[in-house]
This record gives sequence, C-alpha cells and structure tokens, in this order.
Amino acid sequence: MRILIVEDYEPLQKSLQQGLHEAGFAVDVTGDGPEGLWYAMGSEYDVIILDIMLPGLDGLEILKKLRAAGKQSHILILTAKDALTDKIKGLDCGADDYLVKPFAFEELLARIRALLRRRYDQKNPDVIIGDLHIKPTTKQVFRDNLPIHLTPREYALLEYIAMRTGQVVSRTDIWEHVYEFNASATSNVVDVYVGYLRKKLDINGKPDLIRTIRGQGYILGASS
Amino acid sequence: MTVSLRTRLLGSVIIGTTLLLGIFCIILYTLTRNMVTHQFDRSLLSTAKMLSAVVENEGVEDEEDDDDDDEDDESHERGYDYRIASSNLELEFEFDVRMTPEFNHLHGGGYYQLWNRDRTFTLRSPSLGKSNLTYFANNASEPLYQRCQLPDNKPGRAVSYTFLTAEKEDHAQLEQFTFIVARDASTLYDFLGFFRWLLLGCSAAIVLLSGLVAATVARIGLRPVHTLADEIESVDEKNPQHFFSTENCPAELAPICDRLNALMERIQQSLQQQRRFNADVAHELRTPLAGIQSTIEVCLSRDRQAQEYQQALENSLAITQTMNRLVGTLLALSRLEAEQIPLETQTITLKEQVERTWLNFADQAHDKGLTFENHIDDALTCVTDRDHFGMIISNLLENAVEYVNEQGQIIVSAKNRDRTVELSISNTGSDLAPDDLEHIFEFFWRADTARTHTGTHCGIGLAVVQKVAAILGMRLNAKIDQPKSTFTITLELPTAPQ
Repeated sequence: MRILIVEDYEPLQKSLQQGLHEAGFAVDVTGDGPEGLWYAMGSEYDVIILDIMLPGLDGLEILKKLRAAGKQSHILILTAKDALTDKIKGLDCGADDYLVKPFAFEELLARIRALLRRRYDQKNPDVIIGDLHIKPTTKQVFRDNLPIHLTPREYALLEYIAMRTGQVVSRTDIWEHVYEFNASATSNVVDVYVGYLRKKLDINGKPDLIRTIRGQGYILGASS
Repeated sequence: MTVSLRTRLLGSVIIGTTLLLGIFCIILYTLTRNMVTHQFDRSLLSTAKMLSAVVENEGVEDEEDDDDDDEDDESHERGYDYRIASSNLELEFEFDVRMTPEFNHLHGGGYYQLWNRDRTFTLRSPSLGKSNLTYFANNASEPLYQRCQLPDNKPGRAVSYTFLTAEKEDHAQLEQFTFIVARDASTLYDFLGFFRWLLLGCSAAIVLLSGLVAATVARIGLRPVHTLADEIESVDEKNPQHFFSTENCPAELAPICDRLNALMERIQQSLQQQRRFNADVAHELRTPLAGIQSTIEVCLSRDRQAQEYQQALENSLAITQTMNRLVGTLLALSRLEAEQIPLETQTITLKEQVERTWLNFADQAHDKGLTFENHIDDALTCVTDRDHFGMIISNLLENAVEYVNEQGQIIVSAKNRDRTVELSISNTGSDLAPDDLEHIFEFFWRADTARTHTGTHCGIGLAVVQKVAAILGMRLNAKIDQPKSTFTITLELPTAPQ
C-alpha cells in the first residue's frame, strides 16, 4: 500500500516516514503544500496523511482540490487543531479521518488499516481466501494454518493482491500501490517479486493461489 | 444607594411647583386683599369726610344764644347737635339721617365717633349706643385705617380721620377733631378668609396633580434608560455579540449607546485575539510534542541498534529544548501581562550593551560568515531596566542572525533625536515582503518561507519583544529596504527617565 505524508514539521515527518516504511508501506514525503498537491495528483495513493498548517498551500485547500479532481485516495487529516469546528470542517471538506496531534503512532497505524479496508471494500480485518489467512494487524500470513514468513515487500505485494481478491491486478497497479516514488525500477521487478511470493505460498503441492492472466495481470482467489 | 432619577425629578417638580405656587398665592392674596380692603377703606374715608364736612363749630356755649334754640329744634329733626358740658364747646352736626340709615339703628352696621384733640369731648353715632369705638390717630394729616372689633362683636374696619374746623363766628380759631368711622367688614373678612382657603386648596391640588403628572412623565420618559439598562444586563460577557440599537435611542443616550457598541467591539476583538492566541499556543506546543512522541514510539516499535536509539534520543532532546524556550517565553509573557515584574532602572551605555549581547551570537555569526558592525555613538545612554532591555536587544539580534542570508551583514546604529534615541538593527537577505510587515509583531506568525528554514524556531519572539518594549515605554518599528532586502527594526528609546 502506498502512502503520501504531507507534513512540514521535520521531526514528525522523519519519524512517520520511518515508522510507516517499517510497517511495510511505500511512503512518499513532502513538507511543502504545492508539492504535496502535485504528488497527490500524480499518483494513486491509498492513503494520504495531510497536515493543515502547511507553507504555500493550506491543507484544506489541497483536500478540496483533490476531491474536486475526483481523486479517490483516502485522506487522513493529522493536525494540532482540535476544535470541534475544525474537525467538522475537515471532514466535510472531504477527509476520511481526522487525527489530532499529539497522537500515538499505533493509533495512526490502526486508522490507516481501517482506511485501507474501506478502500478495498473489506469489512473483515483479516483477509481469508480459501485456506490463505492474512492478518494485516500483525502482518502474519497462514496457509492451511501454517505460518508463512514474508519480507516486507513480499507481504505488501500479497496484501495488495489479496485486498483486491477476485479482480485482475495489473503490473501497473502493483507498481503504483506497492512501490514508493523513487523506488528503483527495473522492468520486471513486479514479476520477480510475484515469483518470490508464489514460491513461499505454494507449498506442499497446493494449488497456485496467484494465477496469471495473460496480457492483463494477476489474480488471487476466484473471479468475482 | 444612590437617589433615583425619578425620585429626584419628582422631588424637584414638587418642590418647584410648591415654591412657585406659594409665591404666586402670596402675591395674589396680598394684591387681592389690598385691593378689596382699599376699596372698603375708601368708602370709609369718603363717609368720614362727608361727616366731617357737616360738623360746624358753634364755638363756646353762650348763655345769651337762646335764639339758637329754634335752630336747634329744627336741626333736631334733621340731625343732632350736641353740647359739651365741660368745655363749653358747642358743635353743630347736621345731616340727613335718611341718607345714612346704618348709623341710626343700634348695631346698624355703621358707626362713627368724633373726638376733639385732647379727647375731652366725644360724639357718638346712634348705632354705637353707649359703647365706644377704639380711638387711634397720629399727628399726621393722613387718614389711618385699622381693623377693629365692633360693638356687636362683629369684625369691622375703621378709619381715623383728623381734620380742622374753624369756629363759626371767629374763623381764626381752628380746632382739631378726629372722626373714627367704622363699618361692618365681616363680608370682607369672610371673603378674604374664603379666598385664602381657596388658594391653599388649589395650590395643594395643583401640587398633587403636578406630582402625579411628573411621576408619570418621569416613568415614561425614563423608559429608554430602563430599556438600555436591561439590554446591558442581558449581555453575556463570555459571548458579547450584542450590539445596542441606536435607532430607538433618545438623543441623550445615543452617545452612551455608541460608546457601548465601541467597547463591545473592542471586547469581541480582544476575545477573538485571545482565542486565536490560545489556538496558536496549543498548536505550537502540540506539534513538538507530537514530534517527540512519534520519534520515540517509532523507535521503540521494534528492536534496534544502539545508534538508532541514540539518534532518536538526541532528536527528542532537541525538540524538548525548543519546547522549553517556548514555554519560557509564554511564562514571561503571562508574567508581563500580570505586570508582576518590578522594574529597576539604571543608566545603560547603548554601544556597550549591544557589544555584550552580541557575544552570545558571535560564534553562530562566524559560522554563517556574517559581518557585524556596531555604529552606536559611545556617548549615547538610556535609563531603563537593564534585564528587560537586554532581553529586547538579545531577541532582536537573535532574529537578525536567524534570518540574515549567508555572508550577509548585520548593522546596528543609533540616531539621537529630540527626546528619543532610535536604535536600529538591520540584517540583509530578508525573505519578508512589504505586506508581511504588519504581521511580524503578531504571535506565532511566521512568514511561510521561514517555516521550512528551521523546524525549531518559533515565531513568538517579536510579539513578546513588543510587549516588553511597551512596558519600558519604548516603541518598535520595522521596514524593508530594497538594496539587498535589508530588514531594519528600530527601537525608540525615550532619553528622559521613565
């Protein structure tokens, strides 16, 4: 999953970036308002963490512009403004969530997970497809009740494809949602990682979970 | 308890009316009394004059004057003539009794009595009978008037008319006589009495009515005042959005309404400023707190290398130091607001103060490759509180160092004016636009670009500096000049001791 952080206070920016990256997200950061807007318009972020007091362009303005442009990213406002009127204003402008500083990092993670479920129309926190069991809260994966150990990138890839179970996921989609902006790109990095993932998942001769649809992409689970 | 306007108005009206009516009544009564009495007295006088005209001095009685007896008989039918036993004066006194019936019958209403000068002889009207009228006279030839008690105990008025009459035979001999003519004046006095009571009654009624009218008028008239008072009372101090309508305000209250509205606006602005300040303070404190919390939480979220922990701790510490300064400034600010800090004034040499303060920034300046020039005249001094003044200079220099460009210049100078000294601190390379100048003294304001300069500098400095300056009786001005975007801040110091 791909996250954009728009926050100008450096210590916070740095710690968020580190924390979210370690949690397995592809993270882009900026401390500048206009730059944040540019990033958000340019890519399909799953979640955008948006501060309000930004240099150059107010956070709410960015929000309005994104919504007006039809961007579907889920936006969480992260700000010190805690007045009721501020919260209402933020949510009514199109934000999906509102978190007041200072906050517990764990809470931020939980809210991001909730936003991601919403993004992919998943109600169940756990993703269960056949005998595959994914727990996003703990990043644990089980197949047939046997734990499977994945690297962060592999997990991110699996999570994304699993969230979109039943849909064909193109390489571009994967690229957009699993890799951050300046990830080093080789033309078949996606294929390579899918290969890694398959190797770990398809154990004991069990059927392939991730199937290739030629010319289109991959699919996990039965077609919807 | 202060006296109410209504009571005062009412009291004044009643007292005023009473006084006016009192004076009026007295004048009216006096005039009326004089007039009717005068009228009465005039008729008394004319009667007295008439009576005195018919008195003839027969002279001393003479035994030989027998042929007068015939005359006497005649006159006895018409009038009366008297003879005195003692002084042998004989007076003839003739008048037609039909013309003056009042004097004829006992207690007829009119009375007269005649005396000679030494009161040895007297002549009474029939109406008097055996009684006497009260004698009163003076030596002047003017008639005298007096109230008297009549024989039938009725109130009367009498005139005392003194006249001379010559002896019939010998005109050289003049005798002085006094006529007292009295009449029943009960009608007169009854009327005056009635009139007196009438006036009093009317006055009382008028006073009462005017009191009622005044009370009503006062109540109605003062209604706008009550309305205004109610409106004022209904104002909520915590949420003063009320504005007093000046439309229905009478002319006298309009200035009060206007003033109240102006005050309300000031209060509202002040509250708004307060709210903004509180919101800003919250933001300024929460942001670094969030930074610390996030840094530490992320660091603790998994096992790490010692170096990572160290870095996280150092970052957190740096942030706490910023917060420390912020909290310190806020406390200083609230203490200033409460004016708890006593000022100790002393004479300060400006050049030396600036040099001393600059030492704190010398290293930082060196790192940035800055040039510092102190052009203040050695002789310039000011008399003020050293600690606070030092704080102002320190803040201004800190700002200059913070915002100056690399390799830039900071110049301090002073101009000696009439009764003030203008101390200026300039730095080149300022990012401020001319429009920003009106904001720089606001709390927590930072020019956008300055925010990303360092994440740690907080914009409260100039606002606090301005407050401290105000307490010391100094003023701050700022301007931007074009060559090299030079930002100059000027402190006006009064040279006379504060």
